Amino acid sequence: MTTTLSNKRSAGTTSSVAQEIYRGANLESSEQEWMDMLSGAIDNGSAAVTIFGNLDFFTPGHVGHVVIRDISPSRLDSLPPIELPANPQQAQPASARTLTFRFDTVVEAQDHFAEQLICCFEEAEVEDGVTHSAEALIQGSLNSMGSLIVDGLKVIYAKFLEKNPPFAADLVLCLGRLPQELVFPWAMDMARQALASDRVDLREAGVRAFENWGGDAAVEAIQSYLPSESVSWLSRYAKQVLRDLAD
Amino acid sequence: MEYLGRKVTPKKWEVTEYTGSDGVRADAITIDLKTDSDEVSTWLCEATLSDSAEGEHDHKDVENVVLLFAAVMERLDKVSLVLLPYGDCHKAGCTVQQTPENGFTEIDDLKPRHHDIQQLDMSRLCWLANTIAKAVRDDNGLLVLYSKRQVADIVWQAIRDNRLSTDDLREKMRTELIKLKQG
Repeated sequence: MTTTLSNKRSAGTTSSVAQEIYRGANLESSEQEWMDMLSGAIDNGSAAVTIFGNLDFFTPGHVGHVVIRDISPSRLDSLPPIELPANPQQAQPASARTLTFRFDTVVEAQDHFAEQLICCFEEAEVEDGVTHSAEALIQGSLNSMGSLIVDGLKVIYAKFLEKNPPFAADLVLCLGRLPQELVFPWAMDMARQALASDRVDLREAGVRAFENWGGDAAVEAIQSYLPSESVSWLSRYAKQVLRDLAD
Repeated sequence: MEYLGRKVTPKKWEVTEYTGSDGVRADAITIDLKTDSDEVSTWLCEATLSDSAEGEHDHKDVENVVLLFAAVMERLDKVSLVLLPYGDCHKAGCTVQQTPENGFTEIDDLKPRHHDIQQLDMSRLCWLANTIAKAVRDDNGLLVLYSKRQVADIVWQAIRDNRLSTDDLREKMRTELIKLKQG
């Protein structure tokens, strides 16, 4: 019986990093223990790591996602394949004997996140009163990868503004639905950019993001944008939001 | 005056570079005016619109329609409605039928307000689309917008009046409402 840790770059193989990780853990280790071991093992290779995972990180079939900073794709590709013996002490169902890891560089991780985000927006647009799948994706990714995702979101937003403004509007709407502590202050800059757009969908998204966040900064942003609003219903809505925020 | 309230997404009804000044986006029709068995679902309400652009409209009864939509939302959010003049629908050849059995709501006293605009064909659907587009673009009092806070106030009042229970609300909606009203 064998357990395979597979690197997504080469099916059925894994890296020496994964071998080291595997030696220190078993399938019953907690997520935090795995995180610590992943960090330790990769730190030994002089690379800083950011690890993406969640509470069902090691459930059968789940893909662990390891983002390694300061490593080139070619070096990741050159890590040797290895097959690991299963721990005989553990009675695991067959489906649990394979753990799949994604090993990514920062750029790859950001690209992967962008692909997922685009899929969410292609699947459905953001509707009033309906939770959108992009919200959970963004929140989960921000919680686990922090600044790496913030940087990625800024790049994605700039691309959306240029090539797909409806997605940019949907992104601002989703960010507006997330807790301030997770998205401030950078999301406010995105919402301000949206307010300055010549597109009504973006400006509306900006107003609604600030409506959700509230606070002095929201009042200030809407007040300074309002005189330039040429669409009557949106101007009326923004004025109502200002009244609401003043209460 | 009586109106038929229909939930819409105003931004979809704005002109774009490819619709021209009086065109309507296909998404507006296929999403906001999605038909089922050639019918469009609406809710009857009363409103008094001011003749002047600056005048105040009386939309008090429209809040009942807002409540209908808010009560089934997953989360607290704004509600945008267009008010279709009941008499104009008839004049345009639309068949309007009271259909309380199709009004899916936990608020029993509002069920009789449900009306379907029936037997829609291309020309009648176009009339509806043009009426909504005009309401949005002219902002003539037929487009009513309720902010998240206003929606919260309406739902909260309905709960206080025992027309609705917090148990009837979706979990996220309930949590956000309580947070906003008591937080």
